[in-house]
Amino acid sequence: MSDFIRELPARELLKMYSATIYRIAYSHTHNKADAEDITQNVFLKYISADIEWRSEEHRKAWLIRVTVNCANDFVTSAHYRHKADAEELPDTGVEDPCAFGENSDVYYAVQSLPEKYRIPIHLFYYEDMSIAEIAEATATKEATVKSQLSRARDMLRKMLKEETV
Amino acid sequence: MSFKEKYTDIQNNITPDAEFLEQLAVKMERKKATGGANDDISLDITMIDDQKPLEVVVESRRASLWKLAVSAACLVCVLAVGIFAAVKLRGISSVESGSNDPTSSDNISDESSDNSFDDSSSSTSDTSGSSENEKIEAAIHKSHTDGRGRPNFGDENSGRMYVDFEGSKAYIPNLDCNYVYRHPFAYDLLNDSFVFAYFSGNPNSISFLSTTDKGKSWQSSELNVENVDNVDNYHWYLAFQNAEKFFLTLKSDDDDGCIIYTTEDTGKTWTQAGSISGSDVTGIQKVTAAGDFYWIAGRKKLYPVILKTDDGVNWREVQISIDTKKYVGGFCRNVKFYDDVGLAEVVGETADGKTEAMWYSSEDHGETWSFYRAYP
Repeated sequence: MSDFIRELPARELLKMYSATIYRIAYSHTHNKADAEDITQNVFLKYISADIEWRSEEHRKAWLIRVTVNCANDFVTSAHYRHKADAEELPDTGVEDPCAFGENSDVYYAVQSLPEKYRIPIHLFYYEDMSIAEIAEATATKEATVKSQLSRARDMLRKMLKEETV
Repeated sequence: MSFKEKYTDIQNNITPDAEFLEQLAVKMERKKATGGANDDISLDITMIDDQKPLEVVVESRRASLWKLAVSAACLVCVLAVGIFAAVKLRGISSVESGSNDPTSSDNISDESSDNSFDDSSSSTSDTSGSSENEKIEAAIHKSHTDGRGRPNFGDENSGRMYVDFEGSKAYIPNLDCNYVYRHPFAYDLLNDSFVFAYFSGNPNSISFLSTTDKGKSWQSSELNVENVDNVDNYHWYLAFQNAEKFFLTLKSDDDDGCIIYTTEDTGKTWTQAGSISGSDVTGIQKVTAAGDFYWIAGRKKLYPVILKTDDGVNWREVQISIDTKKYVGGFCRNVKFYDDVGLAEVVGETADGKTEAMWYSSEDHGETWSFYRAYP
C-alpha cells in the first residue's frame, strides 16, 4: 500500500485550501488585491513543487508555510513598498469594515497591529494552531511566538479595552 | 462575545472571489499541462493594471535605471572574473614551480571557520541510497504527524483548558486559559501522559498538573525556584523521558544559558540537574528526550548548535554547519529521533532578514548532522 496520498485536481485543492491561504495572506496585508496575488503565488508554487504528500496535514503545513514565506516576501518587495509609500493611492482593495458590523473594532485593532504579530494572531485564533505549530509555520522559535502572542494580546487588550484577549 | 468569536466572525466573511478562484484554477491547470512556462507574465500584467499610468512611467524609468545598473554590474563582474582567472593561473604556475606558501591567509580562513559549510553535505539526498532517503522521509512524515506539542489548550469562551489525546478531549482542572496565556507555560505529551507547567502567581514557584491516564486523574505538584528572581520573566521548556521522569529548563531573555531541573516522580520532588551558564549558548529551545540522551537546540553566537548530554549534568556541543555564504546566522529549532534517524530543524537567516527552514539528518545517533532538504 502506498504511503502517499493522492494528488488533488486544481479545483478540489482550491476548494479545500484557498480560503485558508487567502485569509492568512489577507491577515498580513489587509488588502484584497495583495492577498489574491499571494494566494496565486502559493498555488502556482504548489503546482511546481515536486513533493509526494504523505498526509493532508503534510500538505496543509506546506501550504501554510509557503504562504507565510510569500506574505513576508511580498511586504518587503519593491512593489509593495512602492504602494505603501504612495499615500495618494486609494486603497481600493480593502474590504469594507462596515461589513463586519459590531466586530469592526476588532478588525481595526488587528489591522493596526505590527505586521509581525498579525500572522501569529491569525494562526492562533482562527486556525487554532498550537505555539509549536506556529513556530514551525513561521520558522521562528516557540519562545518568539509566545512573546509575539503575548505582546499582541497586550496591544489588543489596550485597544479594545477588554480583559480577555 | 469573546475576542476569538469576533475574530472568527470577521474571518468567515473574508473569502476569495469565485471569479478569482476560477481564473486561478485555469492557470493552475495550464501550468500543470505545460510544466509552468510563462505563468508569471500574466501575474505581472495584473499588477501593472492596478497602478495609475503615471506610476507605470515612473516604474519604467526606474526599471531602465536598474537595467543600466545591472548591466554595469555585470560588466564589472566579467572583468573581475577575468582578472581573478588570470591571478589564479599565475598561482597555479607558482604551485607547479614549488613557490606557493601553504600558510597563505586564504587557507587559514577556510580551515579555521567553525561554520564552514561542507558542500558535499548539501547533496546528501542525491548521493545516499534511496532506502536511506525513504527512512528520513518517513521520519519527517512522523514528525509532521506525531502528537508532541500539538494540542491546543484553551477554550476561551469558558476559559477552561484541555488537552486532546488523539480525539478525546481531557479538561485540565482549575485552570483558566485567559490567565495562563498571560504568563509563561510549558507542556509535553507522551502517550497517555501529559504534564502542564503554569505560573500560579508566586515568583519563586512553578506549578504543575500532570496525568498518566489520559486525563482521568490529575496530580498537582510544585517546583520551588529560590535562585531565580521571578520565574514569570523566564522561558520554560518541558520534556518527558518517561511517564514519571521529565525535565524542565528555565531560560531568561537576559542570560545566555539556562537552568535544568529534573524529577523522577511526576513532579513530587525536584533536583537541579545542571545548568548551562557563562557559555555563549543562546535561544535554547527545548530539551528533547531520545533514549537516554538529552538535547538542547539553539544558537551559539550566530550559528546553530545542538547540546547533548547523557546525564543532564555534563553537556557537550554537536556541530551543525550551515552555508555561511547564504546565511548570516541561524539556530536549531528542534531535535527529534525516530528509530535510527535523527532529525534537526535548522533555520538559516539571510542578510535581508528572511528565514529559511531546513531539515538536517543524522544516522549516527546525533554525533554528526548533514543537510537533507528544505523544510517542510
